[in-house]
Amino acid sequence: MKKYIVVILSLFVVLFANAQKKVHIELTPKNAEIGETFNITITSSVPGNLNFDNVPDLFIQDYNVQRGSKKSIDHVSRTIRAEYYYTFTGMITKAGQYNFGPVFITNGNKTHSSNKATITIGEKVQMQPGEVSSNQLQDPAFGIIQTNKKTIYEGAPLLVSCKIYAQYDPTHVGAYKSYTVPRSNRKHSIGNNATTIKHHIERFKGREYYTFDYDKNIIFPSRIGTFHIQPFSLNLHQGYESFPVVSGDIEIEVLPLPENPPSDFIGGVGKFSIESNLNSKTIKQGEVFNLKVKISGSGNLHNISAPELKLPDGFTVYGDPIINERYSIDINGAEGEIEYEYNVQAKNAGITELPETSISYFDPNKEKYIQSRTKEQKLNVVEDINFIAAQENDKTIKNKDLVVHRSEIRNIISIVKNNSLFGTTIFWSSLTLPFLASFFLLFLTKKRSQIDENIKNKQQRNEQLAQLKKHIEKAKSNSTTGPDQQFYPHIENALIKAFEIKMNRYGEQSREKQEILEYIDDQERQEKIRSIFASCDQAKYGFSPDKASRLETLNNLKAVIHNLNIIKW
Amino acid sequence: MSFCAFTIDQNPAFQKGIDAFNKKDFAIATNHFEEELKNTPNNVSAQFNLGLSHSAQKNYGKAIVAFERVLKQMPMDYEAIDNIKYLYEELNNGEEWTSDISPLQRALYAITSTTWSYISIILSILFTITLHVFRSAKNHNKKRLSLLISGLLIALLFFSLYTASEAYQYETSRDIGIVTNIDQSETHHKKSDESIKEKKLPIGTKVKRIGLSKGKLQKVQTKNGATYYIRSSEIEFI
Repeated sequence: MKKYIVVILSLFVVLFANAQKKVHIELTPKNAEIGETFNITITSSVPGNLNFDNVPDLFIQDYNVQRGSKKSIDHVSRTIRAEYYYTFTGMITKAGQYNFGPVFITNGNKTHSSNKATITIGEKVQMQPGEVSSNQLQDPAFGIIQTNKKTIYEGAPLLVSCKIYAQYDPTHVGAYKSYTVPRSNRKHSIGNNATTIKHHIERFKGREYYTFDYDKNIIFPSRIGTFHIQPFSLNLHQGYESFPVVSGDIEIEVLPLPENPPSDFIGGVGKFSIESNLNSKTIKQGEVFNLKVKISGSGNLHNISAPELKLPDGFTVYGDPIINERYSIDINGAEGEIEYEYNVQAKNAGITELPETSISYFDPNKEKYIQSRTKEQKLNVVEDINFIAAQENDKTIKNKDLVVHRSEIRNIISIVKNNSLFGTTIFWSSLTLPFLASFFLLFLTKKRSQIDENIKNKQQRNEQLAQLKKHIEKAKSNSTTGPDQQFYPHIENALIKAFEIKMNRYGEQSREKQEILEYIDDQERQEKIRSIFASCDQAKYGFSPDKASRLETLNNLKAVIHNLNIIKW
Repeated sequence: MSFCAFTIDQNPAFQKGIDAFNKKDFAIATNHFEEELKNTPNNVSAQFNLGLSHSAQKNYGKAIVAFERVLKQMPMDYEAIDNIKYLYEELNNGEEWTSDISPLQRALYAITSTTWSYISIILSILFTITLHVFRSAKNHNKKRLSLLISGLLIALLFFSLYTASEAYQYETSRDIGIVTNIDQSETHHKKSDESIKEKKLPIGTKVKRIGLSKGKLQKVQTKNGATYYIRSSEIEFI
């Protein structure tokens, strides 16, 4: 019995060891055009002699062969692994699909075979050349930048390469400085940049040239508008001789995608398809199943966003999808597939139809948005009593335990009274009251001061009248007897006082004679006043007037005061 | 608007709400806080706790409304602002909280329109006093000083009157609304009006009411100026 177990185990070990010894062949890119150089990489976990005969008849192999080995540490088994590799380059000159392999590695008596690899060779992409000046045509060699399109939609792949024309047979390229594109556009090299060159003869502008393509790249312009691909430069050698070549630039116009893209637009520009796959058609309620959605095609596949899953109620997607990218950059852009792996939990039992998942992309050839969708899939979710019970329990604890509070609850009641004072009658009354009170006070004060002034004026008038009467009495009593000094000053003072009272100029001293005369319009009265003042001046400075003159002056004063109508004489 | 605090003995619904909240019975707590707000609409604590209860039940739209109402009554309640910002983060639908007023306005409005009204009245009294001082002053320097103070006081009076008016508008206007619910069965648009957008507004969108249309549809405008019709059941005004 033990013997059998040992034999079986040994067999397993041998089989396992053999399974680890892999020979693998891979072609990059998987799509190429006629005459385009592609790489064939063979990797093997065992050393040995390589048999690389299973290649298509039309395959033209380069002299460029690399071989070697590299070691890596397997962290799972903690062993050092050696890997042997061989790299060949070559091209095919006819369109079609070509198989490479299997290749064989012979180690002693044992031969290990590889897988098969396929490459699709397409017709040569028609390139549009940039400008060539007449000066360039005079040179022994010149170069141009060429692109597959000069007007493209944003996000679409643009194929760019150099083309060199020479009047002599070139041998190799030196001091190459690549053409430059705006920083936002990353260049993806797809070959034809070896220093050794494969040229052919081509007729251009009526003359035969040695010509070859060089430094082929794919870019995915993302900014709309026009941009320039800046010139490249190189030294084109013929043996030790060389000629410097500088190209012109080329203008590319990037168009925006049409407005209002569909809601399921994933940002894809090219041609894509979608398919989905369930890992199981029947699952238990509460189990997590695997839903894979695969988007394949060519264009800007590397820039697309994940499709939005439409799942019925009772299905929950856990986490972000696992993304498996299997694409390469070739002349068609990013070509291959991206697989999104979703983990979905089915919470409701029953047969459910998972709705189709749709994507939309922009097809630059048809110049419109195209929709692609998966098929509806049936899923049988078998009832699980344990899950239902757990779910019920979850519901109760979910509400209680899985809540995160941002703030503490407020235990003290705080009331904010909303009855604002603003805009109420009380507010406007209170606001205007000080102004009203101020105006009222101002009015009262003004009136009071006016009354006081009137009283004062009256008092002064009475005083003045008393003085006037006194002067008149003195003048009257001295009119016939007594010296002139006791008559004329009283006459003059009485006249001035009378006019002060008439002109309401209380408290002001001696009126000017001229002012008094101007106050009187009547000529006759003016003469009388002049005569009074003349008599007074004569008595003051000159000879003494006679008694008759005194009476005349007194009568004149009487007449003037009578006319002024201030007092009764 | 003025502020005062009470003990919870007078408000049994408030106490019941707190008890239910502490027991993590958030639906019951919500009912109690709503009842409390029916009896005492100006209970800011009940409004705040209602926001927390809605938030705990993931009723983010209603929670935002509750916290916005707290802010309406107490503009400087930064805890409410913090909660609103958190709720928008949880919604994660492209909407984010935008304040209707600047931080300075928030500080001024927090003083309340009533306080600004009292300040205006005091300033008007002081202004008239300084005017009288100016009028009765015999000294030239005293006249000049009283004139300067009068000018300052009248400027302050106008400022406080303006602020009182703005604060009053902020306290009393009910034109700002929050989308709390989206009924997927019907659309928000009205096809006869070309300016009306067909897109549904996500929960938490802050809109301004610009009219009431037929069929209980509210005509609202978003912050970017787009006009929508939205059903009254899908929006709550703060």
